[in-house]
Amino acid sequence: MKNYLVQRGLSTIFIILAVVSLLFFLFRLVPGDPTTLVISPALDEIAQKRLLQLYGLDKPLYVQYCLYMKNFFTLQWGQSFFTQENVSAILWYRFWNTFSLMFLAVLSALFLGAIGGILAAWKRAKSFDSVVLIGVTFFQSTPIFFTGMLLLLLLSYKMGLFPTGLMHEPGFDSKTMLGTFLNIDFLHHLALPLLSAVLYYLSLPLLIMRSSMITALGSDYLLIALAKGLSNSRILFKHAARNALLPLITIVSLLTGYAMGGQVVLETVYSWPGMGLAMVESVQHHDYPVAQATFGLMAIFVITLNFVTDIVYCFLDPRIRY
Amino acid sequence: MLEIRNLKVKYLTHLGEIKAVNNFSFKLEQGDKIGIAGESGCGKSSLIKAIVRILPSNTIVDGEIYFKDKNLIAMEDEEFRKSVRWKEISIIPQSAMNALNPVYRVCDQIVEAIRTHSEITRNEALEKTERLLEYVGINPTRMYDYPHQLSGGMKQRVMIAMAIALNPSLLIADEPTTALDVIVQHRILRRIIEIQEELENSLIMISHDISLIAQTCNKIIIMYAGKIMECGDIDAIFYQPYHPYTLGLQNAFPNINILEQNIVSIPGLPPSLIDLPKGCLFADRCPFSQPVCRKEEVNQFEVEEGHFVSCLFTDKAEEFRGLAKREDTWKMRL
Amino acid sequence: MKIMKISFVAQQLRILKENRLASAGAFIILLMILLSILSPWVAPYDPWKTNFDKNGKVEMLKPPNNQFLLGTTLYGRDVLSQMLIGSRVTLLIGFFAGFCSAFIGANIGLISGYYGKITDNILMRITDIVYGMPFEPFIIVMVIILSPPKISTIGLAIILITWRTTARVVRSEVLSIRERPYIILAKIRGADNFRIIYRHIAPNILPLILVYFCASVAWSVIAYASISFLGFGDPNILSWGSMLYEVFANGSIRAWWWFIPPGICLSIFIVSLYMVARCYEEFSNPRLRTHR
Repeated sequence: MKNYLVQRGLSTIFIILAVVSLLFFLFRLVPGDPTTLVISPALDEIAQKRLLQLYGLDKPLYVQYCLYMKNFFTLQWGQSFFTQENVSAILWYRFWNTFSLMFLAVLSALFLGAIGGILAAWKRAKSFDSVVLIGVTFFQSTPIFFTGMLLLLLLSYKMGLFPTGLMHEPGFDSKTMLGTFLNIDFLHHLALPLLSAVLYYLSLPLLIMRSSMITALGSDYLLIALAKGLSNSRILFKHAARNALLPLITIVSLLTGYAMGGQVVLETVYSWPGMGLAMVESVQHHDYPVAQATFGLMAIFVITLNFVTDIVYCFLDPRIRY
Repeated sequence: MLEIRNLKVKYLTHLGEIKAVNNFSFKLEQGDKIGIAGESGCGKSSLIKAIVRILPSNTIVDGEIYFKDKNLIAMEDEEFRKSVRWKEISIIPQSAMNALNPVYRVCDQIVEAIRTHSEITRNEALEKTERLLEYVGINPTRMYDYPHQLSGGMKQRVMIAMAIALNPSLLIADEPTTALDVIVQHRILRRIIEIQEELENSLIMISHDISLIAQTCNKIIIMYAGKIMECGDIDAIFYQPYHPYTLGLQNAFPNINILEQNIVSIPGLPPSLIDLPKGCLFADRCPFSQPVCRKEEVNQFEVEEGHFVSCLFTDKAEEFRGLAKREDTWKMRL
Repeated sequence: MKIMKISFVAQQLRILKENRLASAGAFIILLMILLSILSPWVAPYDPWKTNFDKNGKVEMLKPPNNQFLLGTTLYGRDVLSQMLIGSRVTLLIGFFAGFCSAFIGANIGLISGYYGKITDNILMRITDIVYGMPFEPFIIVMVIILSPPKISTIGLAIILITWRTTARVVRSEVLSIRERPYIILAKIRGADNFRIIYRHIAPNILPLILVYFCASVAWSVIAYASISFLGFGDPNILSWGSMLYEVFANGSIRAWWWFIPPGICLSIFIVSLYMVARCYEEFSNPRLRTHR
């Protein structure tokens, strides 16, 4: 197992380096002078000259590349063209805003999807299974922004039950980071985006859990468990579900990648101040440093999570551990 | 102790009703070692699953299974689960390869079986597991291993240990050694018999290998297309077989003492279980069949004490025995 | 004995007919394709034209009525016509990008799985890198790079990122098929690699590829709709996504007649695609079937 993990770790590092490098070269392809990538036209001559030196724009390409990589991994992501703030400072808050929503959404989707999948597999009755499958497919097919808009229309505009967006009421101020997230106002604003997200992400875990449960329920050890006189709940959860869980873990990384993409649209609909919205806004404002850093951060987050999921899987499957 | 009356098991599929077990009637006394022999697909596994009630949901079970004077089929689920399963009747499955849950340790799975039916602590159960594993010939230190770390033979021994853990009155072994090599097969089989004799429980052993049954059991049931063709004491059937199917099976086993022996096999295939023929199910392949054989279902006749045959011509048995030994008798069917 | 050869199309029809949901899905897809082709003739109004009423006022945000069956937009344009005409781009980019993506992905999977070793290593590393990049953000970055946004460049961006799933799945399937006896026999018979891959392995994976073709079309449609919704779509092109963008950007969510129809059409189209995909998935893995 150790070999496998080391191999995966190296692979992860390689992919991160490759993606970040790719990012460098991609942004080089932006039409126009590469200096516009880092130097805001709004700055004065001296500042421009300083930045020119910092990014080595007067030096050959490979030097610029090395400088870029060094800067990137030391979290020196420049300053926003739009607000002149340090990009890393902006993204720090944006990251946690996105994370709070995404983490809860993915976790809820996994949990509810797993339960739904177990039930759908257990009750192989044609009607229940069909209803669940069609329902889930429908939610998966409805673009997340459409669901968002529908929920906004119904629950927010028409019924006034939930706010129309943002993370807090305007004027909200909290002293601490945790305080931002641990209060009713936050939860109130969280409700609709969370609901839209969970409905959209639910289908994948549900379908995977259902199919792996069907496999587990048809296995020999399950028949023996039944013959041993174990109770139905024990068989379902301790034996079948425990085995069916393994394929589910593999899709956690897939789901998170999926969710990261979904956040972009979700945050736009709900004006949720996260990385997704940062991405969109930065493109609208031609704010390249923010766009670049946001993309890089998103990618690194997803790639790292893939690796963590692999580790977790190794621990859960004794066939790999021993 | 176990009495099966007119058991019928049908699988409902979109191709039709598969009649896996047809009018199976049989009595088992305490201490009996009964072997059930038959071709693949003759309903042996379905029979076992019906007794332990682990048939899939698309099956219909008819008839009665009396175990210690209680009808198992009519029993409530909970009662059956708590009082009969594993405690009174346990099974040693065909392929231990997949019978153990891959994500739990071996000891945990045996402990689970023990603690479901008795009120002992986990430590006590672990101790018992250690003793059980020793009893079947596994080093107790292996009990903390996961199934994939054990060899096929060891896994089968674990299954045996698990099956005898609660000292059930009836042990059912479903082709317990098919998936193993010959040497391990011999050892395991011997151990099963030793255990059965020490614990004084009854044994039902299923096999397609008659010689295996001959070595281990005292009674035998010959099954074909879900029906009993012949059953009785093993000696009686081996030395004085009545049913043409039994005669055919005997031919299929080469005698090690005779050189250059032509093996005579029964031509044809078993009938489709969806469209069962009328009358005797073996009639189409039987060299001695007459039109009357296809008229009505043939019931079991008792030709001597405890020896039952499902054939209309039991009086002609001597003649059949002689004819069956000849190759041309069987070729005529073609 | 003459062996009857059923044409590919007839075979697919037979597979689909067995599954009621998939048949419904396929029917809906064909219906939508037909409508979108006929849309210039079916649409009652010019979708770009601002409509004026008798008094010369703009027919702004009118709910559904006899004149405009699905109401009008903020700019006085007929929603129904927009929806009909908008379907063309949505469907076109979906099928085109979906097809290219599945085609590229399948080929990479076939080559990578079959040849193994270095080829496999390199191709899978590339796939890993593409997997490491989140979907929508990547397309947005491509939009920046290839600006101004045009439908062709967005299509290219979609293809560049959606091929990865098909590639991985096809590769894993090829790895298991590669060792099967009939492949080894073909090699012994002297078939060259190209022949083995495309005449022996590929036909066996066809149901799986079809699953991912349907899924790729679905992903492409969602991708283009999402990008348009964010405002990064081609501004000169009308699509369902761009309609939703207009609604949202103008804060006109209360004009439900404007955004619900295109949204529902998107959902129905994608559901139909997934139904057909699922039918093929069950076909290639019978255990998933739900009937008793």
